Amino acid sequence: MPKKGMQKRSFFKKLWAGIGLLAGVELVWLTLNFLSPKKQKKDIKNLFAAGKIKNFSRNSVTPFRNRNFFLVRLQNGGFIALSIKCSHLGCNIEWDENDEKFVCPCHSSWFTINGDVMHAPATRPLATLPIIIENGDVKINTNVILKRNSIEDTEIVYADKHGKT
Amino acid sequence: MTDHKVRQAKARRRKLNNLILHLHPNMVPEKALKFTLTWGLGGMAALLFVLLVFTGILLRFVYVPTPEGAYDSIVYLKQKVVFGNFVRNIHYWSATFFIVVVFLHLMRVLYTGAYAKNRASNWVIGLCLLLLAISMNFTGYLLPWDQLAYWAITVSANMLKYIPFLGESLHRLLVQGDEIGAPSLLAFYNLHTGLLPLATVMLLAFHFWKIRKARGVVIPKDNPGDGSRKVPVWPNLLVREFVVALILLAVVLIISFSFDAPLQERANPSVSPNPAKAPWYFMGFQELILHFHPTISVLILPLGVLILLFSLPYIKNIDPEQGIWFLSKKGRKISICSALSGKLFAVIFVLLNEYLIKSSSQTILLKNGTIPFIVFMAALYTHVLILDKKFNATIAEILQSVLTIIFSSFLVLTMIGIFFRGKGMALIF
Ligand code: HEM
Ligand code: FES
Repeated sequence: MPKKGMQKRSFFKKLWAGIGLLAGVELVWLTLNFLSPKKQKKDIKNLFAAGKIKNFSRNSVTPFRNRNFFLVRLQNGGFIALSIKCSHLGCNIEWDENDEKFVCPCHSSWFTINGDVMHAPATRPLATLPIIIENGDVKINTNVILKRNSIEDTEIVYADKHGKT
Repeated sequence: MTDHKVRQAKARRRKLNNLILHLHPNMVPEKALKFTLTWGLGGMAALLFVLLVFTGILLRFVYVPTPEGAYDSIVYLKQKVVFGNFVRNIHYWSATFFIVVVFLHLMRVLYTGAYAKNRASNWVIGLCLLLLAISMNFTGYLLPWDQLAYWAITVSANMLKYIPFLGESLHRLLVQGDEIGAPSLLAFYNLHTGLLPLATVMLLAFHFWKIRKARGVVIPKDNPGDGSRKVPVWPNLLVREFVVALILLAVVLIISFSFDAPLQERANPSVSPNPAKAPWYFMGFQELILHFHPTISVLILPLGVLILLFSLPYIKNIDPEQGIWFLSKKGRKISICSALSGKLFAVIFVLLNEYLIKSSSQTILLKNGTIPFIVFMAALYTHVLILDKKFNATIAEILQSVLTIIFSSFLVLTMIGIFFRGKGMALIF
């Protein structure tokens, strides 16, 4: 059996190690918090008025490059706001008028008019931005970007809430 | 030797002792002098790092780390500052050579079996230095704030997002926000000119100390008879190092004089250039991303290789022959074959992928690279089995071969990315 003094010493060793560990964890936590970017105020709406409904013809794509989105009006009259950032590695996509597809200049992903992937390397559809239609004005909340893993029709917004206008 | 000469030599040695900070012992084994043992690569890396620090300090006097000021300060440097362009070029080319030389140094340590036993910890320190070298280059890449910088960093930083669970937060932490902007530039600037070089200096001190603790670089075992002769470090080793340093310096200066570091138009966050390429040392990854699902290309493959590299000296029963290139005659043959087959494999894979798999309507598993990946791993495994059973290769020889295959195919992918990818990342010849 070890002497009493030895036991005490090993107890203090453990204590020191424990305190040291705690201090280390705290330091890492503090550093990470110091370095983590300030949270953006996602809940504050930043509505951007893109224009009157009638300005956008069916089956058309209007770029808003400074706001980082494309406003798409589908054949059936519905609106989608597609993020300009390629879902692959974040380059800015372009609308190819002739082939009716979005093209990414960086690694040549293609997307359909509603943002679905036609051609790898992208694997997910383009992200969308929320649209609100008020008094015939199409408004986009540019503070929010909704990532999606598959195409859903819920992103499509219609002027007439009950059906397709 | 006369008394006078002996005294002179002693005095010189004393001065040397102070001057070069005990980097070297007074006497070194004659075998360690052979240039083709180390190719002087570690020393070259050290010299390039010194060049980078000196030119970097100068550049800091002119550079402004804000999106508004950065590009203009570089243009000002090029046009108005005396030797500004030259200093920038030296920094650029030293950085490029640094990556190449550090990587070659790693290869030489691998192929001379210098990672094992009492050098294991130094191999790990070395790997950290490699990661630091890449991080320094990467953070420096953004600073000119031109189109090249902005989009290369955008694309590379976005690769992080594919890491499951942690990816998004890691990206936010690195970029200090959702996309590259003023906070990213400030963070990159601080990392590039503060934290990372500081960490490198500290690790380098550690690295050099460990070399001395291991009694110098690795040398072949003594054959009976030839003995282990030792010679004074001056002039034998120091003159050699000096000559290598001068030649390297001359090459860097001539290239910096003849070729300008690139500077494109000012960064424009709303227009991506076509094609947008990652920095050249990440081009292999970018090529991988074209062919494999990102989980494979940015997570499984790099992590696997890193784990293999870090654990290499600690693998059970690994006992490479030390100080002999490729470990043995057999090892040399295996390595050459591995290098060739690795290269061939990469070329065939890229061509197949480009002209057959992509254009036809195959299953998604083929298109996103899952099946090719499994086939590759199976082939690698078979290769290991054959080396083990048929050729009776040692563990060290087998792993050397595996790493050779990985490195040589990655090299081919990097070359393809740099030289054979044009608009829309289409293959061009
Ligand atoms: C910042 C970059 C680096 C510098 C400046 C550097 C410098 C050096 C120097 C001067 C030597 C003496 C022998 C020689 O010149 O080859 C050396 C040896 C060594 N280096 Fe590095 N090195 C760096 C990165 C690395 C890397 C990436 C590795 C591998 C992962 C590594 C692993 C080693 C090992 C294990 C030795 C001992 C080799 C032996 O004893 O033969 N170093 N290094
Ligand atoms: S970023 Fe669009 S294809 Fe890679």
